[in-house]
Amino acid sequence: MSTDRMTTGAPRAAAPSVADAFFDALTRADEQGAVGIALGRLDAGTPAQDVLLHLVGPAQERVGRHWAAWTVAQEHAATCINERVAAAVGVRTRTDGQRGHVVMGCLDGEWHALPARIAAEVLRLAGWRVTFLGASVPPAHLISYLNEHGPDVVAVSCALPIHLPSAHRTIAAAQRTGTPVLAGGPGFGPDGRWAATLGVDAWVPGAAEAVALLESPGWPRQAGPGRAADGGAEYAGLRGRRAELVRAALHRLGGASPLAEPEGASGGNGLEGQPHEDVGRLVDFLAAAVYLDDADLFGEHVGWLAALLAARDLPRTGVGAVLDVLAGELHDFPTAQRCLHRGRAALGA
Amino acid sequence: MRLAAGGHPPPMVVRGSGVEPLEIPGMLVGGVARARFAARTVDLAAGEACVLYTDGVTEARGGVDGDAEFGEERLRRLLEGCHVLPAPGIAERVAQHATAWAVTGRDDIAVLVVQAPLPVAPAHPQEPSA
Repeated sequence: MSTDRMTTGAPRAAAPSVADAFFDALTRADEQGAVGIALGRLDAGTPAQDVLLHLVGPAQERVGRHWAAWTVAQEHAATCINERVAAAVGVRTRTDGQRGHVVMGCLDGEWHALPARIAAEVLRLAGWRVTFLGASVPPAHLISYLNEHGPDVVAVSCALPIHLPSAHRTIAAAQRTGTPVLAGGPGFGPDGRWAATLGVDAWVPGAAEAVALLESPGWPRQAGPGRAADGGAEYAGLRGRRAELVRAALHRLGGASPLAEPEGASGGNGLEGQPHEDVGRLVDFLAAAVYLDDADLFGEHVGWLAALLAARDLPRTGVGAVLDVLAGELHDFPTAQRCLHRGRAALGA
Repeated sequence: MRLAAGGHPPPMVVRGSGVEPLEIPGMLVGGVARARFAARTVDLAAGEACVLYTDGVTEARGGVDGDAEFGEERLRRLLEGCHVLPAPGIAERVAQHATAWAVTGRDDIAVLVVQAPLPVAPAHPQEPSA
């Protein structure tokens, strides 16, 4: 550790040895070890926001990259420990919260709370009073909270674009309370392009950018008009036929999950949930792509599934069968056809 | 851990060896003036957990046709292997799956997980093979 220079100035990544020891503690679900390393950085003079942004955040990205090798439970355990680290780092520093009041939460159905938690702590450290509402905030709860407390800004986080159609209604309802909406997270698309489609007041790629934006003179103090969109008749048709589409795909698959192991394999691949949920997820991604009129959204999801299946030596035929059934059922849905075509290309042979 | 219940769904004990629903007899809370409740004791080894939940979890209606209950069996299977998770992770997993299951409306859901402290795995574990 003799090469670890304690300098002030530009934020930098944690030293590799610290990052590795911290990640190892997460791997072993060693809460005391992980908290000890993070608080040790604070004691050594590293600012709390740097510990959050350059140790806790990158470790979580590393956890996310291990999906091919880890079980869901192991990934979940590491994430839980990291969330507790973020909280432990946060409570060590008192701030006055005089800049204003930020309400932060994950959109309905979104359970990836750690990036929002990190952003909440970083904003608090920058002098904001932050109310963190946590994962999957029901829209009615969020809106009544805004009406009751009248914060200066509501920040919403989304990791998966599947939640965007319902998020749009939540965002519009928040803007009607007069509260400007700040969006963050990869669920809003590369460069936040879907955030723009949904008419949010601003989008930021990460916590540091959120701090900078809220301090800038250009930040609107009032909500914008938002943007009305309903995804058109195709989206409405897809939603209306969801159960029927799921049933048709399940029938083709003989009731199995499209992510299931081939007949005769044993032990479980740790991937598939309820068969109808796995099919439903594909239909919901398609619906989100149609809503946002963006075939890449669906193509990227299918490509991700193909990589996941390949990493576990599983066939892609189940997903291919679902795409075939959807293409047949939705023959008069031109946008959906374009998305399915892109999905088929992403799935490969 | 000593448990009593008043018409609550059976707590699930999450162990390394599997998940056991724990039936506890008792009269409905608020149902009768002089209700009687039985008590049961469970021992939890390191990492093992007891999951208490309201009927909003097991009575969530969803599935292919939207009318199937989430049910105790689905909950039991969901908790298999969860002895490696910290308590907040177990509670979140239950809440996440029960709300994702429910397609129409939502009953209130409350989940409480009591866990004996997790054992810490030795350093440099072997990565499970993919």
